[in-house]
Amino acid sequence: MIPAILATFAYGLALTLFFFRCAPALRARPGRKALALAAVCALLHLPVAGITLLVLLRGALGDLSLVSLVLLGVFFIQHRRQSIVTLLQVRIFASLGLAFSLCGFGLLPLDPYEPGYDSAILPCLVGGLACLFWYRGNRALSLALLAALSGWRLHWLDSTNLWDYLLDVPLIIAALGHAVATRAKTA
Amino acid sequence: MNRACLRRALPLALIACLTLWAGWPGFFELPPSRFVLPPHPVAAQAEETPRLESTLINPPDPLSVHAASIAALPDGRLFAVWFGGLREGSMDVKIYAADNQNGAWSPQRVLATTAQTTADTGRFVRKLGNPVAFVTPQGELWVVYVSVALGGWATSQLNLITSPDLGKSWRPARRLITAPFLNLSTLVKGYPVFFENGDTGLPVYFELGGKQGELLILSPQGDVRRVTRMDYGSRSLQPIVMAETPARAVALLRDSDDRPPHRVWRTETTDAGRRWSPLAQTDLPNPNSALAALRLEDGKLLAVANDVENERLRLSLLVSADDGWHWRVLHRFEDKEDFLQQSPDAAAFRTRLTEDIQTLGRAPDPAEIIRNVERNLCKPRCGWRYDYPYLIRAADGDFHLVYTWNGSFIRHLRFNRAWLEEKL
Repeated sequence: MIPAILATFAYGLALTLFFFRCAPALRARPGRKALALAAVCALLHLPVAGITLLVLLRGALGDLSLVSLVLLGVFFIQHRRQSIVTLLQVRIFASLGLAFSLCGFGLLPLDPYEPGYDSAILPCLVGGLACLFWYRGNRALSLALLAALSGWRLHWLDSTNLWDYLLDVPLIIAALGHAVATRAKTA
Repeated sequence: MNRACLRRALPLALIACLTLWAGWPGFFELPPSRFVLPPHPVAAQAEETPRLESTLINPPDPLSVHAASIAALPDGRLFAVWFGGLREGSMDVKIYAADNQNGAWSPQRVLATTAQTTADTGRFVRKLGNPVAFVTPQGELWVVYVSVALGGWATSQLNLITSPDLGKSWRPARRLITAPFLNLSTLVKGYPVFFENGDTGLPVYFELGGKQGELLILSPQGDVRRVTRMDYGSRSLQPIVMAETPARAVALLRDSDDRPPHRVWRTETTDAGRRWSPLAQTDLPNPNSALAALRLEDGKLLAVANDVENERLRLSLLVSADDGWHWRVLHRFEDKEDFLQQSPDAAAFRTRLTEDIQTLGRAPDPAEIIRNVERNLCKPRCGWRYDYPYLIRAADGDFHLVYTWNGSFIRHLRFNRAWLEEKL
């Protein structure tokens, strides 16, 4: 039940933000944004030919990570477009995410996914990063990482692996896309 | 400490506390749980008359069936599962089951469908594949089966259904999250090993980009505890794990390497599956097809495999006395080696098929068998196919082998220790 609720919010936020990006004129009023989010969440549960969009998205892409959910939430409640992360952070994240995904294909002897199950090292690293981001004033990233840690401990998603609370493929693709697009603009 | 300093330190202390709480179980690394060794069957010594019995489990509908597995239930019944539909990978494929009491198989029943799996997991499922059934140390009957949302088998995911009453009722399916990239590409084929702490170690495999065997550890509640790779690269699939001691086990894997020689791969663990030795080739030929194996009480390994390099037209019973390195053929369950590298015409195929049907034991109407086999294997030239063996040993000492017979039926062979002794 909890994974489905979180997936509704995550995909709802993503689709609403996409909608406002396509129609920026409608973005201004908070009430309108909330209404749009509610409408999109309802649409996600509307069955068409016996299947809902949420079921399709979860079948194809799985559940989004809690980091994605928090970042999408922060983007959503922002009144003005502000950058939550620096370009350097995006680039580092995109590179690490890409390397992690490639290791996931099993072509190298390294398996970074396995420590996500029961190791204490990964949660400590994540906690350390959360401290660092908080100390440097990047509260959104810090909260996103803490949400991932809490969600993992409380088993909020179907996965028992901490990596699935921290990363997801759409987030990595978004980071890669942002990094590439920014580089293209500045080139 | 002044107030400003405290205001800065307090959030960091809270983050540290939350981190400690989240990572707490990981700070106390438990000693790795050890394998539970399969009990020696009680009736094995008392058996006198050699016995080999054959049955076809499923009716002619659906047309195509594959990937059967079988479990011996604590109440003496056998429980078999397989998938079937118009053809492998079609959207009408369902997971079917039947049970066997006193030697007779019940009519097949549907155990899982794409619609039901979609509804249970809340995730779209387009097609279903390999199911594996087993009884857990807690006495529950579990079936883990493959599903696909988009793409081919390389994008498979695993689902678990559990029955607290040995198949009378089933809890809703659960999705197992086992892989980092969109949870893609974990499939199942082999019989599990069990651990002293009640965990189940299910041999699974990954085949997106790389191809390698893995050991999936499930808690008694069905949660994924860990997935351990047995290899990396793209040369092996479908591991079969056989425990020898509480810490040591040997695994045999299907060959998926493009380069010859095509042989079954072997690896072993000495820490109950946490780490696996580098793969090495055995002398058992393998045409990139699944095999089944188990360990006998005298330490020998027994395997059922297609012991040819390029086709699945022979299915043999083999034994190894040196932990899986070298193999000797004991018996050919199916042998069409005279058709190797050639496709018989329809008339020759039907003649041979009609002869074979006489040996099947209890089976559907011969005309229906011929119709299904010809539809599945004559396109337009015909070919033989005997594959996906799955071998277990029941508490009474009997061996039960199920496999796909010409893509059309699930054949069940039951033999006893006396029959095996004759072959050994």
